[in-house]
Amino acid sequence: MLLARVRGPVSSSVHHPAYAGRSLQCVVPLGADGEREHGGLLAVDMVGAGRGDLVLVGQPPGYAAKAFAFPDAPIRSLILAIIDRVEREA
Amino acid sequence: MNFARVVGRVVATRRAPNLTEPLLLLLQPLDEDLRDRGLPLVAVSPVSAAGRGELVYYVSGSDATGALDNHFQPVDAAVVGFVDGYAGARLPASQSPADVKGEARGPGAAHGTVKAAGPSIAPTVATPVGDEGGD
Repeated sequence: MLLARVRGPVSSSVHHPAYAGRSLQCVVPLGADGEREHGGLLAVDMVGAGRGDLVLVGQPPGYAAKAFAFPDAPIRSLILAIIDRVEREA
Repeated sequence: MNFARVVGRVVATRRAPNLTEPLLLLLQPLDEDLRDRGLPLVAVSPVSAAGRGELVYYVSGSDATGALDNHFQPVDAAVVGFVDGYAGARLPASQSPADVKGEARGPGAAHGTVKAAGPSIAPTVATPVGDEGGD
């Protein structure tokens, strides 16, 4: 999983059925310094994240298909948690 | 599996369904010379709670949930071991658990941690420069 910052929601009126009713967000992974941003990606939101939130993004194999009861759902990246804080090495 | 160094912990209370693993570690992946490689990542640590600065190895992708009791958790990276020695060298003291301030983790021995088989020679493993000094 990666630490990422939510850039904002993505609206899409034409989409695969697996995406119907899902919240799609653009998220930007953070670098080792916790600040520098790397190339963004799209993720289906499982937790109600909003713009600017620090989140946990993962690509758990097969989870979307099971969680959404949608066999072979073509969904790879998910927002898995909203991060309260990161306790870094002193 | 890959080397990584534990650089912190991630605290998150609002989670996706079934993400119940309590401990989320922030890892910096390392290459074969134990130099930083790529973006930091977050992994669960079902074997034992690693302390900061510790050298571990993790598995990613679909195999990560195999380390968990509940395979349905949305997890794609899991710490599966702690490194005591590498390439015949014991780890420098700066990377041993004993050096981690105020961080008591469960004994690795309870999980069959493999000790370095080689003699206690001077470490030949290149270590990350400058960031292991503690304070």
